Amino acid sequence: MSGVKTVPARRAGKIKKKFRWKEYLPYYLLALPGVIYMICNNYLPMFGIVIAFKNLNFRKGIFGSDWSGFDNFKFLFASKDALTITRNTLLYNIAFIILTTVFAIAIAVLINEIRSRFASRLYQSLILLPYLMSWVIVSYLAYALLSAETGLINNGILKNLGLNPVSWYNTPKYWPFILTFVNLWKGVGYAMIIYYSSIVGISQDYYEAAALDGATKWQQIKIITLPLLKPTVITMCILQVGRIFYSDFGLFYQIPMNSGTLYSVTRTIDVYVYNALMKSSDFGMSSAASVYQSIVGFVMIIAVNAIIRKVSKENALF
Amino acid sequence: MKRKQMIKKVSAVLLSAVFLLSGCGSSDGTQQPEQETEAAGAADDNNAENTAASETGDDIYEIVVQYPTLGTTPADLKMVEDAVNERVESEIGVHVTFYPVNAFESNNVTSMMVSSGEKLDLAISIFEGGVANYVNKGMIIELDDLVEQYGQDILDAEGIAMQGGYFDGALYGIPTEEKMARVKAFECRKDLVDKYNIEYDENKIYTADELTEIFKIVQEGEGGAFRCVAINGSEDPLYSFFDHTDQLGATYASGVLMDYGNGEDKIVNYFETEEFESFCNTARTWFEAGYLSPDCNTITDSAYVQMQTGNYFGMFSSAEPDMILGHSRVMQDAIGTDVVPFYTSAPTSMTQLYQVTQWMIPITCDNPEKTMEFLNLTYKDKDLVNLIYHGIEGEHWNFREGSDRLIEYPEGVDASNTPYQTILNVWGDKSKDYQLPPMEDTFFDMMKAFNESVEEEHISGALGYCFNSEPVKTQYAAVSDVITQYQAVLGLGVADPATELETYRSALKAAGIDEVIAENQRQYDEWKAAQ
Amino acid sequence: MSEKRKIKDGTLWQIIAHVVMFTGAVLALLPFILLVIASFTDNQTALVNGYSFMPEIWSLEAYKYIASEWGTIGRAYLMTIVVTVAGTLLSLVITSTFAFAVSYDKLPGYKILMFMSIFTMLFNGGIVASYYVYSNIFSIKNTIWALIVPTFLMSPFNVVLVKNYFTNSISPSILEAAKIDGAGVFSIFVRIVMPLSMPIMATIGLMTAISYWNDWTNGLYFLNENGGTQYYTIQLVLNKINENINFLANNSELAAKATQQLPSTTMRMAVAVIGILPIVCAYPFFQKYFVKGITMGGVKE
Repeated sequence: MSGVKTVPARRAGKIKKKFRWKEYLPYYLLALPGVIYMICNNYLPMFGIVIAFKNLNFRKGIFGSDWSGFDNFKFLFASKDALTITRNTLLYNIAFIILTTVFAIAIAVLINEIRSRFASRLYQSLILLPYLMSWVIVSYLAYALLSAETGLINNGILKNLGLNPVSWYNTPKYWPFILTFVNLWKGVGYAMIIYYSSIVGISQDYYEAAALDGATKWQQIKIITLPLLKPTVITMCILQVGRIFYSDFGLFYQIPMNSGTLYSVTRTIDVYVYNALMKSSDFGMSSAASVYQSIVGFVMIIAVNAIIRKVSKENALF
Repeated sequence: MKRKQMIKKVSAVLLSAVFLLSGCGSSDGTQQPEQETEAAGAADDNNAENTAASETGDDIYEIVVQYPTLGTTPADLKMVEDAVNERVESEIGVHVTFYPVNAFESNNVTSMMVSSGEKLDLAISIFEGGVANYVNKGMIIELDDLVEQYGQDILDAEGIAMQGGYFDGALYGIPTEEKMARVKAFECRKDLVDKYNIEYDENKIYTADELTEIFKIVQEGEGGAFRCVAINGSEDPLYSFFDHTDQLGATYASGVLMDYGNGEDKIVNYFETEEFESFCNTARTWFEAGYLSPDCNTITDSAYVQMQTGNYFGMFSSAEPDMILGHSRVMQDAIGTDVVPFYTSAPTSMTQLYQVTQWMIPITCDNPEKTMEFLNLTYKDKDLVNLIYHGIEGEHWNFREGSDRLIEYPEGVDASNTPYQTILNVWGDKSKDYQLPPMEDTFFDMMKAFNESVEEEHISGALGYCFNSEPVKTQYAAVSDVITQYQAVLGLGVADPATELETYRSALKAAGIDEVIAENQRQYDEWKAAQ
Repeated sequence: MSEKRKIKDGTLWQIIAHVVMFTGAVLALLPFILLVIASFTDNQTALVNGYSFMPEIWSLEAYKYIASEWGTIGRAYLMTIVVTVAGTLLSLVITSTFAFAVSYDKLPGYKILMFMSIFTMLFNGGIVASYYVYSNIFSIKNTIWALIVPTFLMSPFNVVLVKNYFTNSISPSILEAAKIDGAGVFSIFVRIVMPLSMPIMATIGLMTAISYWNDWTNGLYFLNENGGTQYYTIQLVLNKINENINFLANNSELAAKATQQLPSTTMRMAVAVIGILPIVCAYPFFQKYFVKGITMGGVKE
């Protein structure tokens, strides 16, 4: 670099950067509503985390109650199924993250290819429908399909094929597939929205140029669409990883109708906590469970973010 | 355009102002002024300060009373509240405000209100298995002295039922019971009993095997998709109808006393007993023979609703006279037959029976004395309790010809359109309640006879004792969880006991059931020694 | 590539797309149709035979129930709409302004702000603390703000998405150019960034709207029967009905005494159906903004 003079070391140390208030103030003002909201909604109530470490007694108040150390956390590990439950939660979440992302992208790409605007809008609306149904309702519908006596599958399909009815709610081996399928069915229409809006923002010029160069559709997708989606995908994955110890309560509790025989494959941490605390509604223990899930998620996000940073810095969250 | 950016700037500032300003906004009438971030814990048994907002004068103390509902608040609640106040303001200087609360969330609502220091004077615990929860969290106050001083009518009315309100050596809950005992039975359709000429002895206690014989006959006769037993996996487990155990104010997770609580004073793990094992086998036979629906552990409708479809022979249920009458009436409307009970247990008296509905006084009550006075009045004053239960005479109900305790709806009003109806009757001395059709005078005699029919040997030796799970709460939670997992499947015969029973028993042990039972035994022995 | 191959290639993708999407749409639609049919089924039949696409007995009783309860249900509808619209608009404003500030990487402390936002996604103080803060400090219990403010007004998830969009899809050169022209920050935000952000605004707008529409937890905690029933939303009404039914089902002693008929399963289906319809109809409104190929104002990279 010939034209640039390096600043003599002595002078460099003395140059102080002035805090450019005039330039930064508008930005801070813009951020202000959000900051105020976070303080009110999230940071003020943060004191509630101490409940996990205390023996909550209303007479003494939250701050006056006795400390109980990690007592409230013990029940999470007391069950001999603790390992199974953790395994279930982790495996399902990993499967869900991967499958939902793949299917959501695939569907977003396909919808983007459809020429008829009416058809593409119609498809979008329809696959969003399942997301709008509450889990309770979905569990009724699943029951309509899977009920041993009156279910559509046993009565309508298996009977006509001459096969024996299956007691779905009492046979664990099918459930990883059933739950994965139901989760996908319900969530893909929603996940797709994000990817679709990203795809839509990609300039048509790129595709035209590629087409001129003789690229097939598949090549165009591989070379243009997918790479440009990478930042969104990475962001979504990191965010989902932060929730890896959480599970959708409705999915794992309502859909299997809380059937005991299925516990080994359907129980996740959230369901376990709910069952354990249903009779006693101990705020300390449920708070402890929440803290436990948060910490794991926190560690995971930091870890994954660090890995991403090494691979492609600009895509990391922070 | 400068205007647009001005608007943006102004709205951003306004939004933040809104958040700040709403902090200074007026609170709703039931809140006390609260400065610190700690939950108010000021009330103490002897606090007689009157700090609550009062509407009608300095002497009148306002009490906030929870009014449990099933989702809809009766339209005329305010009218009834005013009528109540007309009486109680002059009589004891209290102004009542009813606070409607959904039954299923009463626990949450009470917890939230107490934790944030809101005024609440009378809280109801309904179908939660007692006050243990509330006491352990320090939410409610002891009532021993208050009841002694102001609650004489409560003691007279409730009698033995008071035993349900004790916990950890003190009285915390006031029950509202008109039934001093409970009995369990298999209630089934009379028309089918007659059709198959099944012998029915109302003084006999039937065992599970005897019922199997009956089911065989009925199932063969009705065939097809007909099922003998309507059951729902989340209601009381089948074995609880046959086991005659006393759960000591808690659940099976903490061990039980066998033989109506009158056998040995040893608390046992019910699931280790031979009795349980043989029951599992019977349940399995029932399931495989088709007496139970293959969906029995996942069906969402209660047994009661299932019965009304006519596709079931009967269901297991509490079978006191009012229950039988109520079930019969509904079954008559639904499919045209009465129900007859095949009793599976004798009338018993145990702590947990009286924990069904309990009134408690939270720590945020400023004047427990006046509150107790009001509560006592509902047990003493027949007119008051019926005012709250049924509404205003002439407006919502009228006496029937020649009776002073049987009533009926006025012209043009019936159960479906009355503007005032109390679904969850948790009020006062229920034996003073007037009765609507189809109850007749015989109803009162039946209930009286039933209450007096409990025999000495069926009154549990542990009456008044309630287990405190706090010292072993971790194991208790883990054990409860295991029980939830297996209770429906083993109890209903869905899983094969040959393989699953051992797994169940070892899972219970691994979760720590022996420690819980040991703690229970220790507390029990202590309590027994102090009697 | 020859023209013929190009057309074949294009058509092949059209076919694949239509086939896959059609299958997906059917899979999504069938259960919904079952739901609608269930709401028109006679309740007794549903209990005995289960739900089917061709029930033996049809009945309008579920919708008659809705009509008779229209006072409550209609009002709940109105509330849901009001809360959703107001909440979504406010949320868009807060989220976009915050995300824009955070996307300016020369702003001192922008990383801290971002972290502040993500941290809230991971740790929260629990419902007891939130209830305390909102009821005592801000007194929003039993007001309409109880439905709008807690949780959904600014979701860190949305913040990340919008910030990424600003960073990746809006070329800094445009912003630089505007600054050189003397435009202020607010002016840039309103006149340049916002119009370019329509897809992402529509995206998070839709997601926020769905969150508000489906939410019943805010109502459950902050509204009670003592003055809050006028603010009940549709999902909250449905949820309360379900909980009350469960309560009765698990406590059969009560069931015998409960003379009032609680809504049957088919009635709950009907309430669910009318709870879903408006948001499905609102979707096309958002879709308008997913406009293809927005050009970047002619700046070549």
